[in-house]
Amino acid sequence: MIERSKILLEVKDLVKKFRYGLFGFEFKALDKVNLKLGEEPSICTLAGESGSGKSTLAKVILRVYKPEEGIVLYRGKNIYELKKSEVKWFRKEVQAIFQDPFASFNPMRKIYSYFQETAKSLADIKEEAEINKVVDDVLAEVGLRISDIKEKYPHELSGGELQRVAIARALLTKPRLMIADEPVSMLDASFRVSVLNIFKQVKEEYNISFIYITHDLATSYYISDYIAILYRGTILERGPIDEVLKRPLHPYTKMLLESLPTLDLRKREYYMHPIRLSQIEEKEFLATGCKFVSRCPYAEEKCKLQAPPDKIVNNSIVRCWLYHK
Amino acid sequence: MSQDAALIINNIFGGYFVKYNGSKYVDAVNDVSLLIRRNEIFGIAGESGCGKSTLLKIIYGYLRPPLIVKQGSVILPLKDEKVSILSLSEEERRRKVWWKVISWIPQNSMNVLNPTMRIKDNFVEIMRAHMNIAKKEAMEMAIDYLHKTGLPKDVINAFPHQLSGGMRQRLVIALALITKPQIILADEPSTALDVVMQRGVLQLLANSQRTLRNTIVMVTHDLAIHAMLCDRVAIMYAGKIVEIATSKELFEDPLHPYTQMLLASLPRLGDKELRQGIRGSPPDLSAPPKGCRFHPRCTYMKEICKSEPPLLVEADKEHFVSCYLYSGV
Repeated sequence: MIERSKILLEVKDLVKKFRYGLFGFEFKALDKVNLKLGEEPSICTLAGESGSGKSTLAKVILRVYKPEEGIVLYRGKNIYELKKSEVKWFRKEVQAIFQDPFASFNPMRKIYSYFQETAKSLADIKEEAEINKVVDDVLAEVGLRISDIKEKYPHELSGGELQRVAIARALLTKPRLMIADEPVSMLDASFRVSVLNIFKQVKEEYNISFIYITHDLATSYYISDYIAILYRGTILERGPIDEVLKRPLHPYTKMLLESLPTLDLRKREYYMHPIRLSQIEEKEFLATGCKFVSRCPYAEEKCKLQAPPDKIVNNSIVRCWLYHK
Repeated sequence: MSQDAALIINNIFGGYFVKYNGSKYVDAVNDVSLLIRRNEIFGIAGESGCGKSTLLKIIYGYLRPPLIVKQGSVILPLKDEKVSILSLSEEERRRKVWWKVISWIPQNSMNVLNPTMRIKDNFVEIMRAHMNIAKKEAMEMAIDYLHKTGLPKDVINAFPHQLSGGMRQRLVIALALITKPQIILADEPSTALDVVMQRGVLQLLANSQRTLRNTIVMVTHDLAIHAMLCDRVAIMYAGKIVEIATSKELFEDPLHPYTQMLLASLPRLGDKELRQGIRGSPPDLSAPPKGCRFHPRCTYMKEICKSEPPLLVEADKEHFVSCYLYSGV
């Protein structure tokens, strides 16, 4: 039914507009965003600060927000022009995990009922015994047993356990792509790495690709193959993780990496070097040129007037006039 | 007591009485003693629910139900007297201690600015509430002060919603510092900000500390921030302090198994080596485990750990740890 294509997901020149406040000005939450994910299972990080548009991009890919311009192709199909039968297929193929596991589950409902519902509606498994078996399988994948959750309500589990439950539930539909929006940022450090390890393991064993949305570059480096750095709705730099985080091109990526607090006490002195910060947020959103211009140490007149186009440098794609000379 | 003490915290037992299926007591802070010095940045680290924010509230004397202190004292040595913060009435604390000697920056405080007022009016209102000055004088002082702290001048006419979270947070910190307090209690001051903003906020705090030579007690779950900022760090687990050391000692030679496992679980940039989390979860503090509260998750657990809580002992100079591995039982 579905044609196989070399590309799993392709986002082309995406623009999503929002209004700032009730009567406020209109601004582009996403401004000409391009992204490509190959057929080979991989983990791609969308990194950026709050307000960078990373969650908006996830929601556009999940068919929650319809973009004003541009297209999203999932295995060659425009996801905003799917037929009814294809919508169900898309829901099976693309699953999501969100930041707050306690907000993802209804506190009055037993956790197991979510598994039953997903199994029946999306995975087309009707027999109770069979549901039991597949649920047991996916739970084993995240290090839990059916007896751990069978009679339980969400508040009876810890945040880490509940997030693992959310991953297990998503696995039921045998998805090809999982979108995880800040999946570990609410979890305590001692649980965080076990959830990240599950992503790595599931990628290998189930051939699932991930879009991992985070502001934390250390966890991103730990699990990702690729990374895209977002700032005020544009992707300033994207490429293989080692390339981008070890040899950053864009001044913003460099600034992000330099500002990362680390456990290495030798970095202390450098961490206290004064930096330039953004002041009035709305001015940045409305900037017509490069969005980073007000904070960029290399800013020139040209940067204020015109946004730079994408440019391939080494193995990365960077959006900065410095690389157009 | 030591001459350079800024705060002496003696055997605090505090927690929450909650009515839920009958009433129960959440033992959030259990037998905590600390000596915090003048002119230092002291960090308190631990995961959510370990009692670090509760401890900070108790130090400030912000005791609103259901929070109660069962036992213990917080001594604030001033020039001519020793103030016992918890023995004062709230009215006295407000008059003698709050803002004047100790400022508290609670969690999510970037939302305290009144959204219908410009920044300058926010400043003037708060300054007039805590300092006995005229409106005009307060305005001049606020502008001069913002200039000195290196915050941009044009924010003074902006409304809070026009500013980024990081800028709002820096303004709130600037507000908390305007009375030049001897002690600043900062609760997760840079959480929910991106790393660049976070760096700006922490630089503001550290620079003000250097200028005023005062004391900052900084609570955050993020160990990397402690590593970048603090002189000494205490690690809390399930209501107890398990380790206190200088930053150098704590990050380079941690002693408590919890600290060791926690540090080992953190992914680091440039390193893809497989890491492990800590098995199990933190205990329910309405029914904490007997003995060492970490024993159900500890890989070094011995018989005695299950029955008797270990004492905090000085295992090395300035390095305190609460674990039987070091107290020779």
